[in-house]
Amino acid sequence: MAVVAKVERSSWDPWISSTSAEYPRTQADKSSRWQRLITSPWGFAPTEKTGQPDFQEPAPARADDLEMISLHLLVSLCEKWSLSSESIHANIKRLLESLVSQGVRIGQLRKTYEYLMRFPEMMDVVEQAVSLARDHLPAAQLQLEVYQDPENEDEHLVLYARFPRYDAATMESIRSVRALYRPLLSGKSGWFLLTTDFRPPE
Amino acid sequence: MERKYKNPPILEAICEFRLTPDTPWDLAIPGLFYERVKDNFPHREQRMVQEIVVRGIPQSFQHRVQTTERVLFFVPDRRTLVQIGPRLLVINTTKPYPTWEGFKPYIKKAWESLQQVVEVRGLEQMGLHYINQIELPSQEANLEEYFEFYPFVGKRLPQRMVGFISGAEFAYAENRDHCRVQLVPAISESSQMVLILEIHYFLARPRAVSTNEVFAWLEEAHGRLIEIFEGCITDRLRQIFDVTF
Repeated sequence: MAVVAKVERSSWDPWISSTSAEYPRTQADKSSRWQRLITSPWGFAPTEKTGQPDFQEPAPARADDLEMISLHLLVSLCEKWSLSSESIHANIKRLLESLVSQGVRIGQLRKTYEYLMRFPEMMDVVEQAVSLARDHLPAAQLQLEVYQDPENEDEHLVLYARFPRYDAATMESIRSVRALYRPLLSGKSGWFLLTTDFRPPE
Repeated sequence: MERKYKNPPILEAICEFRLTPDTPWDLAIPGLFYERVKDNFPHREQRMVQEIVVRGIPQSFQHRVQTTERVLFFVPDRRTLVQIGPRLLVINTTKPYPTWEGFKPYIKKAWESLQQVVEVRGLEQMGLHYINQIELPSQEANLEEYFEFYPFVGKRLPQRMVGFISGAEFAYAENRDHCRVQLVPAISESSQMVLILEIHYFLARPRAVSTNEVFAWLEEAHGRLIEIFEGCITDRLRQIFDVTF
């Protein structure tokens, strides 16, 4: 599912970095700034969450909290500079940045971008399939690219899962993830496949 | 007079209408809308969009997560599409830009079709947004040779920038409309310097334009966008775009 942060202005990242630079952050935390904001690591939860059964009341926030003050500055900046979130280009850029921040490699950046420009409805498939692959195949290195069939002009997105070791269960685990994202492909013109090329992670 | 370019840098143009909250909306509207636009936009797709609206308030934050369905209608070559969501109509066109005269009929068709299926009570916001991708010949290109809108760096500062951001907001029509301009570097896989110049002209005052003034407003907005775009670039950049007059 695509996530659109209405106050987000990803192009202003250098400024956003400067306001968040002092926050303690573990080495393992490779999530994007907005993912961290969205997943509420600073102790505040959605104050209103429509259509979500697991809605929780917001945690209290202190106005003298440095993080909170910095976040206010950030939100104020973003509100001031939020442009349309409806640009296909901006949404793809945001998606690719988010994938990279999660450790996903993007092969053929331009081709992948162009594929998504042509099939923007595939953005949420990619986002959810990557999330499922990360959860169910934690040992895999993931690489997203466009597969071009050598025998015809057909092309589609492919997410390669590369493992340090391959065994008889590898394909079975990949198939189990495919079964989870497959319903999302229903009614879409684009195509997406999670597979492996049996190469070691780079 | 509007200049014509053989290699225009437009990556995407977006026209967006946000309807006022008192405009009635229900789930049947995308289907009714499709019946009216399917000759032009025959391919229908859908995606789910999760919007996170963040607002700062004095003691805390409010952020609201809402999941909405966005229905997309594409022209056969998929380069132009209409997006419909709750009280939202967006028309996007991607490279190659079909010119304003080519883009406008799509906007007109979508807006008029929406009005046939929804009683639009007002416009909360409306905007015309152009995203230009500009490729300069080298990574070391001097911005002031190509732009009249760029970050100024005084002589006492390092002259080599590894990143920058340049933005401004201008008011028009007695503050009814605003225009945001932003120049930032983009990731480049080549040896060229690639920049994104975004120009977004929008209605800054909700309901300040009535629904029957939309096309006059769009023409005005488009004229301003051209002025601003031309005001941002130099003749050297015009040569790269291959200006014809």
